[in-house]
Amino acid sequence: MISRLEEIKLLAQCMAADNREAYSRLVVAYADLLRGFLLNLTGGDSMLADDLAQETFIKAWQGIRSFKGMAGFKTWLFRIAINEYLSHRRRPASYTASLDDVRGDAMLADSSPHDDSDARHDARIALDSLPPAERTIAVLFYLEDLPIKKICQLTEMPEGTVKSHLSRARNHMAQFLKQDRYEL
Amino acid sequence: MNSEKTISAEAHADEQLKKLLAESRRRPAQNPWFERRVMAALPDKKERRIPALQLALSVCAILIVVGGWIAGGVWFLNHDLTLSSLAVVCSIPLTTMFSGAVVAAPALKRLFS
Repeated sequence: MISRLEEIKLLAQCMAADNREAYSRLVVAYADLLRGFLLNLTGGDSMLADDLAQETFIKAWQGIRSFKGMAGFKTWLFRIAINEYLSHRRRPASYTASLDDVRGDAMLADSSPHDDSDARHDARIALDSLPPAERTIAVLFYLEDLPIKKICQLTEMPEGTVKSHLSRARNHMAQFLKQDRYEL
Repeated sequence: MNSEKTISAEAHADEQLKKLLAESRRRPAQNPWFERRVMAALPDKKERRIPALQLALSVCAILIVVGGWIAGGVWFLNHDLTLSSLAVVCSIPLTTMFSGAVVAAPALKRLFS
């Protein structure tokens, strides 16, 4: 991870002189963070996550001169990544799993007695089965551990909308876990 | 009272969900080629064209500064050290800084906005 000062220096070189070497260092610094975020957002699809991460870095490079610098490069990068993910999900070929479909597959795959690891497994399945907008908010809140205000900034949604998505995501996941006798 | 209970129940559920999901968090596999893949896919940036007016003003500013230093230096060498000659000496660096700011203003604006 690079320091804030180093980051500012690299960004200045990219903005002023289109310095690819400087941008390459930013890519290396943020690649794993971004890929990890997208991996959880895409429900474990590593190829899709890497494709979206690549598109995010390309879009960031193209728009680097419009980067205002107020919220930090990571925030800006994640905002682009979220938009890329939601655009991808809006395309007609995207498949959206329902809770029952995903749960059915999971039950076939694993018929061992229930324990805490099942609760973790089920929580992940429940997260993966959420609709795109709710899943985005849930990943930002539960996995990235971001406060609501930061999520509003990242997603450019009003606070009421974010809280509403979060509430629906919470209820979906609680209902899913309750079916396996795990109470929140 | 009921809303307080609801908030408390939601906070408890959030805590549990954070714990469960953090423990099952997916981590990306190491991919040493990812950075190269990204850099190879980056489009070439278009050549930045400096607006003609900005270029003209920058050239004028540089000429004024250089001319000012030469004229000021000659004038100073031919006059005794007085208040007015000191004022002339101080005005030249100030003019230089102002002209420099005019030339650098677009780049500074992009950097700090």
